[in-house]
Amino acid sequence: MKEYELFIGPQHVGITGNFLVHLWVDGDTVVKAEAHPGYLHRGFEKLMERRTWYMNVALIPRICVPEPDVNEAAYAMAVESLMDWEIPERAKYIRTMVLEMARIGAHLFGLGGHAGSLGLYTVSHWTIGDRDYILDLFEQLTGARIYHIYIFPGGVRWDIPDGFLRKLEKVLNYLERRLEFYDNILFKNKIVFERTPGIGVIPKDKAIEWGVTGPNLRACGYEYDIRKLDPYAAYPDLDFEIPHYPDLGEFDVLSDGGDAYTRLVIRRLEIEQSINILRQIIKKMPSGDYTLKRPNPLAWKVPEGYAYARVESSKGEYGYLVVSDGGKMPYRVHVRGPSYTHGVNVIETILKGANIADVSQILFSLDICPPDLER
Amino acid sequence: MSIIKPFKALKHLVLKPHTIRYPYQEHRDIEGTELPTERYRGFHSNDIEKCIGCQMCAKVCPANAITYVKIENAGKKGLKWRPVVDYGRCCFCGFCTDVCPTKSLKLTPRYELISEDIEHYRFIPTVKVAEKEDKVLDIKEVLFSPDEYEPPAEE
Repeated sequence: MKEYELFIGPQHVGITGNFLVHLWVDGDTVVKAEAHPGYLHRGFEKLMERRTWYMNVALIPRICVPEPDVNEAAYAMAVESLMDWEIPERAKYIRTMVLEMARIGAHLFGLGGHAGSLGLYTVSHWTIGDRDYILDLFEQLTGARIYHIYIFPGGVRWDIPDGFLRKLEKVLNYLERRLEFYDNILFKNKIVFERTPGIGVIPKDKAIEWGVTGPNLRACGYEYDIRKLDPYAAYPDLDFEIPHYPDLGEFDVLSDGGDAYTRLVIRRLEIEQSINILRQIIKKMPSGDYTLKRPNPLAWKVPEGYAYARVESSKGEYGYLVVSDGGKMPYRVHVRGPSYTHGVNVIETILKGANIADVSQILFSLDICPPDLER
Repeated sequence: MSIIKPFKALKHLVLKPHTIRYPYQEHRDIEGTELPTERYRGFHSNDIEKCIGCQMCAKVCPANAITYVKIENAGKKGLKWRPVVDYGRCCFCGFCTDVCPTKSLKLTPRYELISEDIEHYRFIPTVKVAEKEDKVLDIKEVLFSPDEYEPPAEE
């Protein structure tokens, strides 16, 4: 049988961004897959060495477009540990609130994308419409809808505006009502039962070795979450659960874990947990300062040394290694993005033997973010 | 599997749509507040009589969007240095407003500017931008035309 080649991307509805997957196909079955990133490389790590510590805050949110706040938080935490700063309690809570709102937004985006790759376009219209309520909140809190530039080393940029927490509560109530609609249209849908279980399986014994993190690892059966293992911001004070296989709550366990269905369900359950976390934050929000006194942005020097800070993003573990030589600019910044491992190594392995029709579903179920993959 | 259940979906026919017909309809949040609010980071406005031309904003700009020119009518006698913002480069981070010592430079909730000429996106922000009630900026209303300022002095 003769193989033929197939290109998915960089302009394709079945791909998560500007990213190319080169497939060798025998009939309907993928024999070999190669990931070809490189369309979005902007050289952030190098650019950061030519900008001051302050200016970098405007640059880094661009590394991950659907969820930019994790970059700001990880960078701020790394710089704070170099400066030996302890940020105010209120700043910690505001940060946690922003991160959880971003997580809901990113998961809604991810659910919509996955459903779209199955042909259920109604879901993606709904989720993107609902995500807009979160963007409206971000716009009032931070002054921008996507690139917030809000979490600064030392705290956050502005205080919460009047009535913001009341609006957040309303949006959460609305989203909670909407989850029922998603369950009906997506998780009780025959298309999902038939097409997602057993597709794109990451074996449990290989997951750690391959560097899988985040919801994808939890779908394999590990209860692994940076928010619990290495708590940051206000997470130590908050009570929440880590949804992981096989505890899928009200949802049926239809497979042995690590597949597209489990990943989809884990994301859906995490939205519920984030709503729960945000409700606790609304109740517990302390008063006080929202930031430390920020140094002069033009003459700010960070002491020599290096620091690694990591946060749990909606896609996996997000880390920043920041090296300072005591100057006005970082000496070196390395970003550990979750999509790099998911988007290159993992898909090249698990796409082997998949059906062509399932390729885009597997890519969406891993929630690969090409801007983060290439940086 | 129930036979009646699928018909429940019919109720979606009478639900209100998410979509708004922008710009004919206003964009409002869940409580009905009109967006964008005052905190929104849109075009700059600069009170050029209050501005002292210290060039801090140009130094802190991560995108190198702000340059300085000498202009005649800055509220004071003679030629004075005032900022010019290149909106092809500006990323609306707002660091320039954070460092502004007189707080004359501000970001406004205005964000619509339409022109075919690339030179129109490089202008001296004036305080008129903030005063405008209409969201859409008209070139002639808010800008110093290029003839009104002198070219930068040679270094």
